[in-house]
Amino acid sequence: MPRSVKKGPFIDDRLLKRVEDMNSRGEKKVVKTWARASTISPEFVGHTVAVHNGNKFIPVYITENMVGHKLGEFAATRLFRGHGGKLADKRSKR
Amino acid sequence: MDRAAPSYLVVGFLGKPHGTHGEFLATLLTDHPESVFAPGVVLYLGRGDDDEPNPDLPPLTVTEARPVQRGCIVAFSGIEDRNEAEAYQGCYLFRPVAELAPLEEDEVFYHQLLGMRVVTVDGSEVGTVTEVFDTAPSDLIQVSDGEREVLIPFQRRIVTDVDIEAGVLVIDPPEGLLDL
Repeated sequence: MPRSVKKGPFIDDRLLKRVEDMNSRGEKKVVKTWARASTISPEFVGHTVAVHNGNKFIPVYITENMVGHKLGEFAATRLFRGHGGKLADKRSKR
Repeated sequence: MDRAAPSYLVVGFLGKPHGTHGEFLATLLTDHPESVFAPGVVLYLGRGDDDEPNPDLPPLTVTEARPVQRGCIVAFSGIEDRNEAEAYQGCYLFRPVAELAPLEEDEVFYHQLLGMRVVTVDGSEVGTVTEVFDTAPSDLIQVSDGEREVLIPFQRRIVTDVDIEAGVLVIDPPEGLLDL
């Protein structure tokens, strides 16, 4: 069952407050959080949030198309290390 | 083989045979599976540590492929039953670089990033790229200076310049990123 619309999205209060403080000062510091279930709010765009994956903090740069998703979706709990250094046809784009 | 300009790249891995008609469950190691696993495409085989196709293994022509959750089910001409398919289990599939989809603007192969020096915009050394993680929406690069490792989102706002020729990545990290 989805979350009640009446409640609005869950956004970690402490995280939101820290991001809003940085926005008011024009700062861009990395914010550590364990709140993987927190929804990404529009205020987060342009910030880098270090989301704990159970082992370490995974830096997640927040972009506009991530708004409305949960932070945990972008910090995988397992990082696949590839196929033994094979030169694969895998590409990366900034 | 020259890692900077290889002639072949790995596009998949042949896992266990699927069914009784000589099909395989293939793991995708390409970002363009629709063009690589199209009927008529010839793929070359290599095993284990081979960096290029093994001349003792025959090239295979794709006849049919369909995507599944963990890769794709692929069939090759000349392999009609499970026993024949088992002989190729565990092989890597190679394709000539010239036949692959060309790189788009600002796009780089993972292997080009590996080993690159990473420096900050003010010139301080961070380390070298030791791993690239395929994560959405932007990839993560792991940078090591020999003692500690840091993860950096491969994102234009953070990685400001990629100079493949010089082997240098310039980053403009937000405060605290290199201390995680």
